[in-house]
Amino acid sequence: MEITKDLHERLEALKSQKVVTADTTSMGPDVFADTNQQEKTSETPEKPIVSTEKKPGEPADSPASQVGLDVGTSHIVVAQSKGTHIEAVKQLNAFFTVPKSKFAEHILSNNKVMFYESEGLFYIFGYSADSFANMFNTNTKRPMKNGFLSADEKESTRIIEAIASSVIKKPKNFGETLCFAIPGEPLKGTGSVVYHESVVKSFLGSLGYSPISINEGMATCISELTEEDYTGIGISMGGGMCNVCLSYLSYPVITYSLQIAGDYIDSMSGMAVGEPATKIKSVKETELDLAGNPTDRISTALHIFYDDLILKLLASLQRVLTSTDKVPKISTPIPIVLSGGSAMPTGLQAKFEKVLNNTSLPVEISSVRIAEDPLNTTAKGALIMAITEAGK
Amino acid sequence: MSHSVVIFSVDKLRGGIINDILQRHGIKALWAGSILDTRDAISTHTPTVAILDTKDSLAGEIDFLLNLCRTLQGLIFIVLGIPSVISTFKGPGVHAELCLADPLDPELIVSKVKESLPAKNSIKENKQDRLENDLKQFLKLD
Repeated sequence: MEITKDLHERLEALKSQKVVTADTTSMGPDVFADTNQQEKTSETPEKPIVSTEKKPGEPADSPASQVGLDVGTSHIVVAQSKGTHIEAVKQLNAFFTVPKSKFAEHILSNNKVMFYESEGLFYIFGYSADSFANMFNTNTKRPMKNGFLSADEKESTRIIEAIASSVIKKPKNFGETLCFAIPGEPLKGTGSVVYHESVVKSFLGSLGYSPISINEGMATCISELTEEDYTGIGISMGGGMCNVCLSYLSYPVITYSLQIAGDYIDSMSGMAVGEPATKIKSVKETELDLAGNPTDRISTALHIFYDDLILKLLASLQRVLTSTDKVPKISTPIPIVLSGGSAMPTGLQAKFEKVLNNTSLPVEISSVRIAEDPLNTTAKGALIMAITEAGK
Repeated sequence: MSHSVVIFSVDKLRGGIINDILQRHGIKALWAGSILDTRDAISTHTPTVAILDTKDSLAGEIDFLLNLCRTLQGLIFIVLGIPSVISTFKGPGVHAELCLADPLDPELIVSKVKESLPAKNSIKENKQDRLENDLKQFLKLD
């Protein structure tokens, strides 16, 4: 019998990590830091995240220290502590198939496109898949659906492995700690967390890592709730699902997921106004302002389905919190932090607060805020957990 | 390292939360996830307080805990869980005000432990004083 090492103390040492977005070229010479450097930087109160997209042909990194991995429905993000900053590298979690041919192989190889061959097809994956889909005026496919490995795609596991391999290689030190995010059990709908977790863990283990998992909502709490002693509600609003976690002193007391999120908003809005989901997504990511009044049919639909998503989220939270005896008595009001790509539109915070004001929760909420870097929050939380666990 | 409080809870989260909050208040605590570990911890650390979380415990485990309360009357027990289970904890070693029904209230547990520790320490001191007095009388040092 042994007391669990004081997680909180270790988390305290890693708190306050600021988010900055920059280009790969601005990283400077301290990008390739060793473990000792990383230990030093864990004491740095403000540590920025440098976020980049994986470029075609760019080789995967072989990590020299702990790794945080967000395996999301739309993106895979790898976070590593490097000298004075956290590096987050993003890859599109999508693929596109073309029939196998000498000509296609020549084109793909010449353009440094990532692909593999299986049963007469070339599987193009990552950001390259997006470019090819646009070229053919069609949509990419996804190896994940609603937060889990897609049962509709028989190549889903292999594609995920290929995409992950494009952003991380074997670690420099065998047995390096890697923490990856897993979804919570869905309240309704399908998807096995155990299967998803086991498949990802098995692959990462085969690469030479010591993989551990963290609930995606919990990763948000670890990343964003340092000032509140890791007590509060973290909601990761991704593409395929929303992951919710109520954390008390860094313990994930309640975790669950809803299999509706950004994709749901896109497809429902698209259906309502007769536009493709990809167009809706583009409007959502570039123009949507939830603080103002809708200006056209698409923004009207987006407002309506954002309202719908927030209503469903808070209704689920109310239902879960009132029907459980797991939540301890919390003497002070707690915050809600929203992260993920679907938490990006301007005005989401105010919209969420408005619906929250009409929802009666058994815990008092002090504030609603958006994560500092919503797209990298999960990977950052996973990285902090990996560093914490490695230090035990 | 000696611990003032031993916590039994089969629930990793509840055990962890209680352990964590006690440590934050400067109270040395040790969480045990099984009855055997709890028994060993009590015999190794001779704590002042034992927190017995009955939530999700099996009938056999609850019998063991009841027996523990009856046997170790010198220990202060704080019993947690649902009312129907904690109401079965009666006897000389168990005080009604230290039987705390769910929901888990970490702050209340801390205050009960804090109340219990000085009291227990003063009992210890009293015992020690009495022993000292007895020894002095025996040796006719006064």
